[in-house]
Formats: sequence, structure tokens, C-alpha cells
Amino acid sequence: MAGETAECRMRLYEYRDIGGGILGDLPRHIKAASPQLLTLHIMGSPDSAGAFSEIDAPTSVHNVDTAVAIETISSSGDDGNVSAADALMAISIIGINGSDKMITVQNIATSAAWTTFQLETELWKNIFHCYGSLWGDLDKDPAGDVDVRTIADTVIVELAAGDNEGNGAAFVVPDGHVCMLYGGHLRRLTTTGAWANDEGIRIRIVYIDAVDALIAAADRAINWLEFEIAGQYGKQDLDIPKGHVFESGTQIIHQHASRVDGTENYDLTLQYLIWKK
Amino acid sequence: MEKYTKEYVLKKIENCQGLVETAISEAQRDVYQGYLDFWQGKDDATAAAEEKRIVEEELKKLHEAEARKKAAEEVEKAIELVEITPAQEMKYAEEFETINPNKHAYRYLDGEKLQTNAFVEFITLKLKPQ
Repeated sequence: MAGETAECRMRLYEYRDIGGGILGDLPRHIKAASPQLLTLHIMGSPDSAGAFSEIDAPTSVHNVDTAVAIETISSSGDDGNVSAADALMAISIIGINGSDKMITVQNIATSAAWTTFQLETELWKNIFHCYGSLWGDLDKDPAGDVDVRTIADTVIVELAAGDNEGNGAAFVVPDGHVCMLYGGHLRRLTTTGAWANDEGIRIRIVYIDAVDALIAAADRAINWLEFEIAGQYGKQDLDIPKGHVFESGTQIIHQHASRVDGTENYDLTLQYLIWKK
Repeated sequence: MEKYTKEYVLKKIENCQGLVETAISEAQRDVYQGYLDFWQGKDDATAAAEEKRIVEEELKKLHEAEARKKAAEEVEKAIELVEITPAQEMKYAEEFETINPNKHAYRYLDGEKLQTNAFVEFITLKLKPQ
């Protein structure tokens, strides 16, 4: 990768799935709340020595007070519900539903040709990410661009043809919940040659509190946690620390930038614990 | 304006009506009503565009018919303005019968010599301004 590119794999795990594993050292009162774990694995490359830009942004931000229905549609008739003849048969969505719960829902195609839009039953306040999750015999990735969109046809997140991982690396802490950065890892990568001493990769976890979101963007008190790996002699990876807590309703966006070189590459994993207050 | 088929917009409207009817709160009903208004607006726009297209086609046909009629009238007027001398008529008659050996330039009715329809057409074409 070079230039402005990024791919984020976002997944949401329920406590029952991971409770006995990495969450072993959690305080008991958090365990008692059965926290969910949201994981992000980002492979990216920022544009040359420029300002910070959002990593793998959703096509449009779906952030509404009242949960509403959404639609799914493919640009190819080869995506659909015929397992013997179709490619993609289902798209999973991560977001917040009408009960203020972060969930993953698999939306299964209901017609042979998914080019007819399909109204889904789950209602959403936010949608963060999508990924392919069921395939037929024709191919193991989408034949067309598969969109998750509002009823007014505004695309929220999308699977590009041939790509099972959709866009979207930002999320919102659901109302009545709290979120804790639960560690991660950043590794600086290179495709060619050696680094110069003034080069480096910069990552920001930007968080906008719910109270800030109510005022004009220019007036928001936007904060961020910044992580940087630079130079040619130091360690080229770092651990993201656990413990920073984000309030209910906080919007969390991930950004990246390069110090000098346009061919900086990195590999970033982030984990967020989310539990009901 | 985006291109939507009538069927597409009608399905959207049908879905929105269903959502409005089954909304679980006033706020949700308002949102779905907004979507419904949005697609009904598209439907009106689609219908208006279709109506406009039909009217424009009719007007175009009317204008073309008027233009044809006017052109024909001008030709007739031009023909009327040209006087054919008996010598010219004789020349045309010879030419006509040479080109059409099985046709006659004249016919006789009750002893009166009249131009045949084919010959009249021939002269008309000859006199028509190019």
C-alpha cells in the first residue's frame, strides 16, 4: 500500500465468546456487566506528510436519535439467495439498535437477484461497519457493490465488488454504556528500502463527547490519544495502553498521518470494551 | 433529477406506508412520514416529468404538421404564380409521355381535353421550387 489507503476489519464479540480469554484480568464489577469487545484491525498507509485524515471512513454517518429501518441492495444480480448460483448471500452490519445496544446483525438476501432493494427488519440508530458473511457457490466474495443504505437511498457503508470487508472504522458509545480502550498494538511496516530518521507514522484516536456533538463542529473540544513511531533506530512497534474510558454517546474516530514519507505503512489493532453502566 | 422508474418509486412508497403504519413511536412515525413524503415527491416529479414529456411530444407533432402544411401551401402558391405557356405545356407533355410510355398527358371527357392526374403531378413537381 502507498498513498492514502486503509482497510479496517471491525468485529463485535459478546462476553460469552471471549469472557474466559483476554478479559481474565478484568475487575469483577466489569465482568458482572458482561462487557462486549469491539475489535479493530487496521492496515493503512496515510497520504504523504499531510494533515491527519480519517481511517476508512464510512460512506456517510448514520447517527439518528430515533432508530429506523435500512435497506440492502447489490449492483449485481449474481448476489442473492440461490446458494447454487449466487455469490454473496448475506451482509453483516455492526451498529447500535433501537434498544441502545451495540449489535451485529446478518442480513440475508431474500431474492435470487439482490438488485431489488430489500427492506430489513432491524432498526438502527448508528451503523459503523459491514462485512460479507455468507456465500453461494458462484464466488466467495460479492459479485457487485453491496450497499447498506437509508430508505432515502443514502449509502451508509458498502462492500465493494470482490471485497468481503466493508468500510467504516468509527463508532459511537451507545447511550447508557461506557467504553474502555482495552489495549492494542501498532506496528510500523515498510514495503521498500530503509526508513530515514525524520520519517514516521502517527495515529490518533479522536473522541468527541456527546456534549460536544451538540454544538457547532468548530466549537467542539475535540481530544485525542496520539501514538507515533518515528526514526530509524528505535523500536518499530508499540503497545496501545489499556484504561482510557470514554463516556456514553462519545463518537470515536481513528485518524492517521505520515511525518514525511508517502509510503509509510502500518498495522494497528485496537480493542474496546463496552458495558452497560 | 435522478432517474427512478415508476415501479421503483411505488415500491418505496408502499414500504414507507407500511413503516408509517407499524411505527412504534411518534418520533419514528415522523421519520418514516418524512421518507414517505420524500418518495411521494419523487413520484409527483416522475409523473410531472412524464406529463411534460407527453405534452412536449404533442406540441412537437403539432408544430411539424403546421410546418408541413405551410410548406405545401407555399408550393401551391408558387405554382399558381407560375404561368405555363401552351408551348411549355406541350414540351412537358412530350417529356411526360416519353418518360412514362404507358401513360397519357391528356384525357378527353365529353370532347373536352383535360390534363390527366399523373400529368398534373408531373407539372407540379417540375414547377416546385428546389
